[in-house]
Amino acid sequence: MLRSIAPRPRDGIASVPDPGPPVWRWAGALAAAALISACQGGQGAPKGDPNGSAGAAAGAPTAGAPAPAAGRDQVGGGDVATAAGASRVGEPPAASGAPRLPQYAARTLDSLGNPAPLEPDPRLTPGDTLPVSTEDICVAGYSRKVRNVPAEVRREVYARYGVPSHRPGEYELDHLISLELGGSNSVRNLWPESHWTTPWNARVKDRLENRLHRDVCDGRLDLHTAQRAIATDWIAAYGQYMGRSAVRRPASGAR
Amino acid sequence: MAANHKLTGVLKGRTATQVEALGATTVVHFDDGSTMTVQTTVAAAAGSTAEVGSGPAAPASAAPLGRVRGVRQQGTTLDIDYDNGVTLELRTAEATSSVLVRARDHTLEYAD
Repeated sequence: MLRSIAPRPRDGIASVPDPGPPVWRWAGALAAAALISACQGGQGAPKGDPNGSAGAAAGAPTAGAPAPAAGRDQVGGGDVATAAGASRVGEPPAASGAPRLPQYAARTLDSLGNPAPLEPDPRLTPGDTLPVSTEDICVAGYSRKVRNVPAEVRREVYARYGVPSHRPGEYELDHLISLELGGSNSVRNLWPESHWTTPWNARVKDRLENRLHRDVCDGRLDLHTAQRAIATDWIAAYGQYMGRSAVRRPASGAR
Repeated sequence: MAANHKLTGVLKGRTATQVEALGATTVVHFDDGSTMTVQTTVAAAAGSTAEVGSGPAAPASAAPLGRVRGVRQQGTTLDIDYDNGVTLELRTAEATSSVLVRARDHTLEYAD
């Protein structure tokens, strides 16, 4: 199923021009939106942030200061904390006293300069499932019965997303429709998901996957509904099924 | 061609008793009542080779049978090696998402 690939505003966040490929969402898009909002007297972390006040706590800019991204940006294994006045790796230092819009505010780059998408490209990863039933997936140990993704398929997925190389642990080859929800190993269901982007990353999606699986197996949610929800827009599904009261900071790996 | 260790672990020791072509699906029946369903590229048709699912020279009725020794898989080629030295070669529709093994009671044992 194809869905609109144009960036669309989330609650309280204005759309930000994306200098990268138009079909990709960038972690920094949320950061840039918060930045613009802050420069205009806006408030802290973007809504929909599963980390609560993480964005505001980690470096909301002050008026007149060089414009850091809200939240903390992770480039490779290092923590590029974006406090006011700090430059991000690879960016020229800001002129003293002069506010400057970050050149790379609309995207998050990994340690090798590859963009790290928050969501998959629906043209590349629309989602795909195995012909399995609720009874199949709700048996303990189901996911272990699924074959590991072959190396050549992994390479193909990374290549499709323009990630020719990356450091170990930076990405997870994510099943858009998770294995525990009957997702398949097809390239149509795989995408490189970052562990370091904030607020949305692999660990956050894992929480959604576990919740959906639990709801399906407890009979509270239809399997196909869960598959469709996570495949169409996993971030929106997080808000729908996890609820704002369930938000918390991501695992320590994503700083 | 690399071994598919997970599928080998499931099928090793079972004896394939029948290979059935159902359109773009090939079903291998085993002596313990389990079945392996493979999404193949094209339906098997008349011929005499041991290759199933790749074109007109691939009859399911002439597919080799025997006791499974191991499974190898690479790309869209899935080879079932028998103890008698013969190999059943299956052409899958794609490199992944094409193989299911279910036990006699329909319990899922393996998915690709």
